[in-house]
Amino acid sequence: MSAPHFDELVHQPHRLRICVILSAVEQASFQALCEELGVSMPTLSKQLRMLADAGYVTTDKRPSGTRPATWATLTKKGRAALQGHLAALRELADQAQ
Amino acid sequence: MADNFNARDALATAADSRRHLAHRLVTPIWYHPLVGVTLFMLCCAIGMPEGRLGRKTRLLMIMGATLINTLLLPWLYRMRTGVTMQQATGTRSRRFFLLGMIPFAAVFAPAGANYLLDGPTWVPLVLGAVALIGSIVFGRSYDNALRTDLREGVA
Repeated sequence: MSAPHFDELVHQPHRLRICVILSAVEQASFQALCEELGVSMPTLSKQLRMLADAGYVTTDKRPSGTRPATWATLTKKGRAALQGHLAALRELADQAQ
Repeated sequence: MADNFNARDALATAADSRRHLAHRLVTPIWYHPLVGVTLFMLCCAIGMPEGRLGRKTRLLMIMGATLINTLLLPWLYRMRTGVTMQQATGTRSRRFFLLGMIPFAAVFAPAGANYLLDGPTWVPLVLGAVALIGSIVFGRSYDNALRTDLREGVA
């Protein structure tokens, strides 16, 4: 269990959803993430780049059909940030009750 | 810093993402029967008495079943769902996975013994049929456990 730590980068809804999805799987394709989030490729790219710059996500290209597909993975640092952030959110929600 | 309302919204967003993902990870209907067929092939390749199955055929069956299970099926799953899964990361699905391994070992061990003791032909066929049916029943239960783990946020 991670210590509660509010993370502004993870808190943005799209990035939070990306982190939650990636925390449950080993890897997710760009296409699958676009569909899950209901966003365009450029929007997803931008959010993933921000997470990658912080060291929360890594991406790699794999051959898939006629052109390579991009796959994203949550790093250990990203997983810890997400767990800490969710713990902080739970604390905040509990305080409100 | 988020206020309390935003914290609840964010938690709801996280839960919603997990629910959506669980919905996405419904295994195709042909997946577990195909796994079952490969297990049937393995049971026959391992358990058929000498003389009933040639050495080359036996080897081809083992290689075919192994390639289908380790390369083809994971690739098809990845292409269909757009994700690769870690095996049994949640409490419920991990328990299911470990419990499921026991009957499979219990099927392959007698098949191997049947080969060594030059037993009857029907033994690997029956054991293979048990493995086939078991993989369909167990596979679906395992998938349900995995999706429940995902929805509850423990995977």
